[in-house]
Amino acid sequence: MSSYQDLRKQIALYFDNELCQNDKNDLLQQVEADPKCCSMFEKEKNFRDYIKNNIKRPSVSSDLISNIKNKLSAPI
Amino acid sequence: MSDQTEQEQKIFNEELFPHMDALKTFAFHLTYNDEDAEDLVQETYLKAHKFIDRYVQGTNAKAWLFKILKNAYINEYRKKVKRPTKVDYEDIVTYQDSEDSNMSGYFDLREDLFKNRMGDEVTIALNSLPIDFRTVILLCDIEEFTYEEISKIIDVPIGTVRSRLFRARNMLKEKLRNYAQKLGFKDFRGRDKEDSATEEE
Repeated sequence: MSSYQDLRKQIALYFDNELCQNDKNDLLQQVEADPKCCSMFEKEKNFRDYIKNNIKRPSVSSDLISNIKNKLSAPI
Repeated sequence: MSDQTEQEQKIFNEELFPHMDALKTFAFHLTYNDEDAEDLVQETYLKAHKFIDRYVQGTNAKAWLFKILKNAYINEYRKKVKRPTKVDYEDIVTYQDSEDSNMSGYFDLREDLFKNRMGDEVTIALNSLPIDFRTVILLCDIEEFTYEEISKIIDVPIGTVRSRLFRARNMLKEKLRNYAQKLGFKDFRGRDKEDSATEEE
């Protein structure tokens, strides 16, 4: 990989599950071999985990569920 | 109950209703409030019911529902309420789709919408992104849709999904910079050339 920017994009694609197996293997080898790359990889992983674990996920009210089911069962 | 009705009920119970929580989360981050989010989810299921003959059982129900919800939001919800952004989106797209990632100057344009809100920083930061950037983060990072699925849900080419995600994450990282610094992130904006030069030495 020629630059920081390319590496960053590869890491993003890895976590988006958009890399082919060969590219995944190449990246993981680089992560293992290069401490700078490993650090970027870990930081991106932490960032993704943080977003995913802290996003607000409001619960669905029981009223909504019953409203939808009632409307769907009513004749059109 | 007719065979067709029974079949529809089976599809709803087994394939469509299990995605209600995910739809609610998506709707909440589009509309900014719980009541409107529930209206949007309800609208989504009513439309799914109306067009159930277009759904092929066993295919990607979640992506189908998300596309319906996104369209319902664009076509109906946004017409009813005050447009939630003060930013001219086209200006941002033109700017953001360039390779230049120096993004200072507009991060806080919509901050006034949230300055009086208390809540977790991820939700506030995410909700302060322009709608199209917020959407790709929600679809990819929260719901784990593939680029191809996102491309179909929001009707843009895969390349645009990729670049929009890249920009959206940069924007989100900027918003969350204080937190990110605790994790060890540094502000690399504008340093790509410098880093590349260092690496190539």
